[in-house]
Amino acid sequence: MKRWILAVILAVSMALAAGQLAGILGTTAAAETSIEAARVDGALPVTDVSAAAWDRATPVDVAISAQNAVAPIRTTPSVPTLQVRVLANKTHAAFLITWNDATKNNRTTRDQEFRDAVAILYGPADATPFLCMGGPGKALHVTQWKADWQADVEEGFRDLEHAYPNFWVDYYPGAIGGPPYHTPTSFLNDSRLYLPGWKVGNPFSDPLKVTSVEEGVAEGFGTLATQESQDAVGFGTYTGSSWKVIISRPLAGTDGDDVPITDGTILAFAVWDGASGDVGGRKSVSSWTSLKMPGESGILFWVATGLFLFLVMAVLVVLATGRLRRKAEPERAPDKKTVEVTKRDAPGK
Amino acid sequence: MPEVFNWQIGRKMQYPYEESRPQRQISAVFDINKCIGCQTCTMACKTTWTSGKGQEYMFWNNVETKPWGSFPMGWDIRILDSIGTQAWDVTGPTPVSRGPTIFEKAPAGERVLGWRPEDRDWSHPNRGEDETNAGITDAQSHMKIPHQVWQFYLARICNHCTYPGCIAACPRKAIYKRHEDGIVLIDQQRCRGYRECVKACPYKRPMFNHVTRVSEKCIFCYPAMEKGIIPRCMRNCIGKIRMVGAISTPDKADPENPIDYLVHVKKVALPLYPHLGLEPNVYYIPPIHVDLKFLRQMFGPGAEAAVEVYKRAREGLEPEVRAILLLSVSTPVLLKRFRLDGDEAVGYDTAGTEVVRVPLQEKTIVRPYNDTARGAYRHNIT
Repeated sequence: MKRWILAVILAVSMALAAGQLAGILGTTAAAETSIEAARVDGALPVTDVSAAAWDRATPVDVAISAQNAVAPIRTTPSVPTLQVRVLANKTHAAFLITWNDATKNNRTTRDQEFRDAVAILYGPADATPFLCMGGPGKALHVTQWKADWQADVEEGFRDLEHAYPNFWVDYYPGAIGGPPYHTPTSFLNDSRLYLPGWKVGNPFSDPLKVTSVEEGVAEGFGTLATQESQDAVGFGTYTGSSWKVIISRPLAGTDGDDVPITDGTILAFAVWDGASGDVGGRKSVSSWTSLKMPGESGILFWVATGLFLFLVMAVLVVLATGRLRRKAEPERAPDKKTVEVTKRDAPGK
Repeated sequence: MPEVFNWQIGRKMQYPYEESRPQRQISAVFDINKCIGCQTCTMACKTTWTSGKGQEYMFWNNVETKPWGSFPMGWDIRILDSIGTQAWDVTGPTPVSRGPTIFEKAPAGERVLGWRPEDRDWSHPNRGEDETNAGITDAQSHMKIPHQVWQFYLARICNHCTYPGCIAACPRKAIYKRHEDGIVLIDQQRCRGYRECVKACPYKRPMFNHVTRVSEKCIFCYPAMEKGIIPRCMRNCIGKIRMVGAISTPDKADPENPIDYLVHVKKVALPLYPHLGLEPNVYYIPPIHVDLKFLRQMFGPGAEAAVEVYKRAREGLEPEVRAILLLSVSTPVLLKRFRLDGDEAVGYDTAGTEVVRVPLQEKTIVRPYNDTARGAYRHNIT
């Protein structure tokens, strides 16, 4: 009987271990040596920060420090850590990034308003790029989620009248409709000359945003440029004391400068606290960490499962052998416990 | 950090980039004595460039009443406070500013010493209009210079500095100074709205657009300037206080260039807060009726001498100065050269063609009250 109990305990623990190795089950936050993506079949939960699928990814605490290499700097990090989970299917990866933030800053209309934001920097597995923003000839790929962009997508363009409800204006050149002349509907064709950033195609000035995540490329500090094709999506939820933000992008790149996500791709994270006036280089950053993709984890899963089955089989074999051995000894008198069990379990008595 | 030479402070100073002067530096001289604060320049600029949504409180050109007016609120007091008391060494042939510039006094981890105004600071563009330096009392006041109670109008645009604070501060190099004319522009495609330029510029000329969420600033009407036409704010100045041209460095001063003549030869036009270290390229002829202490703080140690030159010009003792001031805004064409031809001032465009001729003294013609030829009576007979 003791052998059966042991066998059950052993089987359960091995099943858990195998499950964790395969990324099916989460663990408590792990050290940041690497981040492991968990496999998802089908669609990734790109707008649901509390989807059950996220429980399958091992959360990793990524240490954050202040960007103080290049002026303008931050002197202390806005948060000590970011918690990161990664899911991947055959075509896309999704990152769930969680961090504490006492204030929600998702407006950039007023002079003193700065956004909360988080970014992932991707570097190729076979090269060690210059820390932070890459260097000449060492292009790095960036996806940045911006709280104000999400507000524009979710709530409609956050216009002047939203920041200043009592503002009044009689006229804007070429604008159609009446006060307060909503952006963008009142501004067609030539009237956009008076919205120069939008007119020249600056993505920050575009009131018709379709994603909260900007995809960019950098070759050093101050070189970040928005890419031609924007393939990343994202979604953030503010809980009252923290942000939970999803950034998702295709594994393979569509722009020439894209760094594809493969096993070993290196990642760095950056976070901006709008309430502290964080913007541009005024940010908190992580060091590089490597990404383990579920392809490799799948092999581990099968190895672990095979090992588990082998051990279970071995236990069964041992037990069966013992039972067979007992059956082969009929002249031996049964002990008391065996008799009691036999009596209790016997049907019809 | 590289060292660059700033002739306005008479010494080398630290700046994030190497000295790189444009082929030609556009410049302007504003005669404060003639400004009546009508805001025509303000509206000329406003209706041309900043009448879009998000630019409501954006005035690339503004006119504020000194000493109390300021746009944005306290722009001058804030930077003067933080840079601290400064001293000029006037023992040598040219004054030397001994204090640190905004680049040399940048806090650790910052590029420039600055501060960023909030929306409420931008919300009162004409605050302090017509307020005097001291309260007006019922006590008898005799007319004397400087006046016991004074105020003056300060028209301000971007100074298109030789060492711009905005360029020093922008981590993205989204701001550039044009090699052909020295005009400083913010690339509207490259700007990401960090507002580092807004924070860094001590004159507070870059401004944040609330709708496009990037920063914008005075462009010195470069599309007009490229055709040899002076900017809108200058062209529309009804007081004709503004002379536009190109400025040379002092060692290459051309006495036939109206700007060089006023700034370098006669030193009657002075930069605004030169000790901040930006080598601004808009110059002011100080008002002659104002407390000299205030003028020295604002325009540096040359203020007193400038006032004296201007007084001489009023008395007819500086005919060239008078000629240039009369040519100001008498033509929309950018003048490269001027000449005194008898009692007429003559202006030449960049190609050397005469484009304007103005008498130093308008002739006075007295006509008879009763015009018998026309059978009419005249109301204004001069």
